[in-house]
Amino acid sequence: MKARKIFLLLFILAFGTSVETAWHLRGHVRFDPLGWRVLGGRFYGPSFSFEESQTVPVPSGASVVVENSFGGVKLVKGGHGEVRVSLRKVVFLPTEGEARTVADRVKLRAVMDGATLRLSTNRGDLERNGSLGEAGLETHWEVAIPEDATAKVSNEHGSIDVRDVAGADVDGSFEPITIERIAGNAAVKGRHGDIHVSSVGGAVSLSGRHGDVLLTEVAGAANVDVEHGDVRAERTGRLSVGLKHGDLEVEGVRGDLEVRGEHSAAKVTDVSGNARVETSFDDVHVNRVTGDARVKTEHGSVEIRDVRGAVAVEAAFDGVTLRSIGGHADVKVEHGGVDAQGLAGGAVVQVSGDDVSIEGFRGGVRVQARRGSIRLAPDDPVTEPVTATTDHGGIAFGVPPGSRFELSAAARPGNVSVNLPGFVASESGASKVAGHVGQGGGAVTLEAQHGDVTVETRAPSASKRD
Amino acid sequence: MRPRFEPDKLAIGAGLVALGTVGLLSRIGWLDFLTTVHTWWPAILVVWGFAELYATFAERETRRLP
Repeated sequence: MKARKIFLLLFILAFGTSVETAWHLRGHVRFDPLGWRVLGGRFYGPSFSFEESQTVPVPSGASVVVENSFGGVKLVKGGHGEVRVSLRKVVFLPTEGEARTVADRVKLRAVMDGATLRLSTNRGDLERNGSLGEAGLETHWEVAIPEDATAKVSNEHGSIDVRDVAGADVDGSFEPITIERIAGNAAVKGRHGDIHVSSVGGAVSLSGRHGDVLLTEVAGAANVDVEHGDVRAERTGRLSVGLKHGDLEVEGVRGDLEVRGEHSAAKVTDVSGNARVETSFDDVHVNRVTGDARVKTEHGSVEIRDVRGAVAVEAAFDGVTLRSIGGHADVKVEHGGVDAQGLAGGAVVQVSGDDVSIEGFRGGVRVQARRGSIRLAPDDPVTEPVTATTDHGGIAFGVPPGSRFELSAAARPGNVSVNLPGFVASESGASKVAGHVGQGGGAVTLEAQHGDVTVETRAPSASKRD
Repeated sequence: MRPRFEPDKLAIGAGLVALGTVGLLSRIGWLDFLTTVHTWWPAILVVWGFAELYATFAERETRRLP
């Protein structure tokens, strides 16, 4: 056989293989923001819908339970004393006749069990005895229930939408979950889909995996546990959030806030209570807290503004910024610095690896730094004790007029420079100066190793800025 | 002298005509291109095979003639 013929034969076979591949991929390829994807399974290709409906009388305060496997579930407010059920069966088969045969086998089940109405289908039986064959089957529910009824929904692969009912208990996956206008409590468990909960009159318990969460207008307490998704909460009661591998944004908490995060950023605004935030590997922003604020993080920066109460911060591998703190500030930072302005209740600061700057403080301050310099610039006259010690860094202390204190400043090795009007020295050397300004007042102790110490007058208005 | 019959050229020609015709008919909506090609593409092997058989017998007949 000639080489040309062998080549032609191979070419025809390759063409045939390409046609076969294209045939099998047909209808199973999608191009979307996730890129080119090959889709498999029973839920692709031609499909046909068939409706079935039923009305069931229920007593006042009934509970309606919907159990579904594939398809959406929607519960809305309906008439008093009855539940109207509309079931749409979607069958994925090439012809309408085949699809109708399968759909006719699927039966709606509505069973009253005391005050509980259970809605489901015989899908499980059909799957067990093989009656569905190769057909893909979705069952979509639209159920109108009385306003005083509570809803319990379990859906394996489909969206859930519950609105205007007395209470909701929802468990869903692989599609979004929406819960709105619930008079009482709401419990939500979601997997692989976004969760949106709003306008809940009672408490909320929410667990989510692999999806974002939006929680708004919750009158009661809210407990949120989310992994691999972002969380945003607006205008809730007391809020407790456990979050891993997602970012948190909280705005408006009527009560205490507790955040336990891992690999999560946290941005918190307007908490009318205490705020406690613990996270790692991302930044923390806390703004406007009427109570105390406690923040602990690693490998992330911390910024805290406008806290009326005390502030306690433990951070590592990044810096801490404080602005307008009404109570005492207790800050520990490893491998990061501190930049603070407006500390009204004094501070205890321990820092390693970076500088400390505290402007516009009142009350006693104790700063201990390693491998970093210290800059202290109070707005009001100094009368409370101030202690600053550092190794491998200098200390700069700006003193407002009218201050009264006993000074002890030392630099080993280094120079001490004191330039204060009215300063009376009892000891004056290049590396150590002692004395007093005014009468009485607290002790000011400044000790630097491998750095200089500078004490000079500071105009009080210089730090009156954000 | 008559030109020599070459079955592979017949296969190429027939395949191109068939492919073009199916493509044209699918463009005007008379049939589905992929369904038709998927069903009928092995026919080109059948056509080529018959052409090879015909060429073999025809060559034998030519040799037998004085």
